[in-house]
Amino acid sequence: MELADKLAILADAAKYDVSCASSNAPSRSSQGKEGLGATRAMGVCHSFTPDGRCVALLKILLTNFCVYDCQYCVNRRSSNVPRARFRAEEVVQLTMDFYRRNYIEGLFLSSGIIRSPDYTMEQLVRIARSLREEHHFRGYIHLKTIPDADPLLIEAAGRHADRLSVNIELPTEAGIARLAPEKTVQTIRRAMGTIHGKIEERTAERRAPRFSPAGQSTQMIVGADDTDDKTILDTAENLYGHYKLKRVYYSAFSPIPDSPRSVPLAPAPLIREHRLYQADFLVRGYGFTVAELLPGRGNLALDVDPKLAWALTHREQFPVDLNRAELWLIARVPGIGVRNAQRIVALRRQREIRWDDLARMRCSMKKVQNFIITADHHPRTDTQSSECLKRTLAPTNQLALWPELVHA
Amino acid sequence: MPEAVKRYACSVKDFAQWRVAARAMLAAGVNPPDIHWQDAGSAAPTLFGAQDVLPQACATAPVARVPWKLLEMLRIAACHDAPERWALLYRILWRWTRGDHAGACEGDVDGTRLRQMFKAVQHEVCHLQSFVRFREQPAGPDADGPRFVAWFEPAYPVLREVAAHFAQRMGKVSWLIATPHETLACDGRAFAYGPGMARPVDVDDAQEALWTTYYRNTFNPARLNVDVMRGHMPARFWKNLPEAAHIGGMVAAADLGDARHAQSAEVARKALRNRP
Repeated sequence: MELADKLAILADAAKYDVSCASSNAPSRSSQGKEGLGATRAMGVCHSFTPDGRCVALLKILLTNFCVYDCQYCVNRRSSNVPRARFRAEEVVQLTMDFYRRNYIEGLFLSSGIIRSPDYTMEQLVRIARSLREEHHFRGYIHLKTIPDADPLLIEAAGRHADRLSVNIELPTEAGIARLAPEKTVQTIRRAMGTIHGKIEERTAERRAPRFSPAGQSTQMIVGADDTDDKTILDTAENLYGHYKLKRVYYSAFSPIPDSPRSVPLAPAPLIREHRLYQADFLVRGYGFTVAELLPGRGNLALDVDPKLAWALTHREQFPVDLNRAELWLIARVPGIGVRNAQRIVALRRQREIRWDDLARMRCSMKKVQNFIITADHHPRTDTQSSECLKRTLAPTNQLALWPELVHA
Repeated sequence: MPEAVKRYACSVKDFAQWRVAARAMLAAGVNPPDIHWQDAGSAAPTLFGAQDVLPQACATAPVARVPWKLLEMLRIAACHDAPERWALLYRILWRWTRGDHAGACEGDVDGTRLRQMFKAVQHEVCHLQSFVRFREQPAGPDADGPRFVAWFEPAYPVLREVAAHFAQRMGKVSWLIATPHETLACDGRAFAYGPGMARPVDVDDAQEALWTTYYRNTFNPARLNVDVMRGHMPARFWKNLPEAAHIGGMVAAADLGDARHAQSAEVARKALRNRP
């Protein structure tokens, strides 16, 4: 098979992994040295495809042959997808060639399970080692970790990779048992634990061998079963807490050709995935807890973002006086992000905050007006009910004339 | 009769020149409205017959001492092409030395404009790091030129800002980036700057076919979202991106039904042959 054909099949097979981060790696440079590549704290996106996603890494599978039969996966054993396998040298060469032309920041390598988890993991590690040791490649490497692989192989992977990831796949144990019969939560979590332990070891002892400096991440498929957002976010919060993950990625389930009966035929709405990312971001960056955002069971609102939804149910906290309130409270105002909250605090050390200052900072004025006090502004809507407010703030969607066509 | 206020005209070519002039003006305590700043080489006539000479230092004027971070922001913002930038930079500096630090804060009229210019230039630096596409020159017997060459059309002259970035990436390999303002070459050790070029270097590189194959297949037609792509990758860069030639076809195919599945049409066709 031609290299281009393999690349087409194995890039197509790898796109269901949404992570493409190339950030948080330690600073490395090849200036004046043998070899190639550099990394720094900030990643670089090199292109964008028409789905709006960035291309920062060469994201491919080593092979899409797989002995597992995960129902949601296009590469499952029983799928009729065309199969291909790269030779190790081909992956190395593609990475180097693409890197030199400034197409990518590095490699994101994953694989279907061939022969055994250990064998597969060994192949991935061999490629990373060859890039680092034979070719002195100093760009970014993200390796997918096979959960059942020997901890010694995971250790070897972490020496060469900037980031490791193990996919949790589905938010519940029952879901994994039903849709990914060859995988178990226990082995997935054990692998995450191994990686976390090694990262901690390295943090505690500087002389310990380098290990996955950009941390670990995971991915959860949303909408392949009927799990609600609360359960999904609880699982994410639990993973962040236990394994200090850098990121949990949410991937809206998209139907695959000839998909089995066990998974839905319709795609999960992308807005649901978007709301989960927003909620996740509020938990990681704003000090919200999942229980605050979703006190009961159920899903996040689709019509308003989670921060606005929270503010509408906590009117007693508002309006916030921007000239007096603490930074963390300002960051909780809908329409003001963490960065703008910091700017407001910096500016008010010089003089008092006025309405026009916020407009110049490009705060979302329609949203903030109801929740803040400045030197020259007091919300008129303070007595309005949250229900009324929500109607003015949520986008009005025109109903589809033929809803059945939209879902066809 | 009181003495008329002295007005000055200053033509500056770049940040270094502006800095020298601004220091002298500050030392003489010249108010911002009394200086007419303009780009060297611009044909606009000088207002009110001002003098294009630097003033004498004045003993009562405060010393110009600003934090390194602010100076760096002024330096970057100076790459912007807005004609009023020199006056804005001076006004901010003047306010700062008189204790009015709001001028460097976002939210303030001057501070906001400064950040806007700074961000626009920084953004262009990021674009340059992202969207440069090197092509490999065929290695001939007389090949002592750079091995990898690229053509780029940045909105502002920011080529110097990315020199270290590319040197760190490329190691000992030689390369050259040409822009309409300037060219930057590196032989793996030292940088060399040259005059700008009128049009791209003409080189064919077979790797581009593999790259576009990758680009087409890593795309998920079920999640078509052209506006987000355009936001991150403005159309003005497309003519120099090998992959961008395929965008039209990819969007059209997704619109015409490929969007039912995430699988790329190329791979789906191959899958059909495998059907039992």
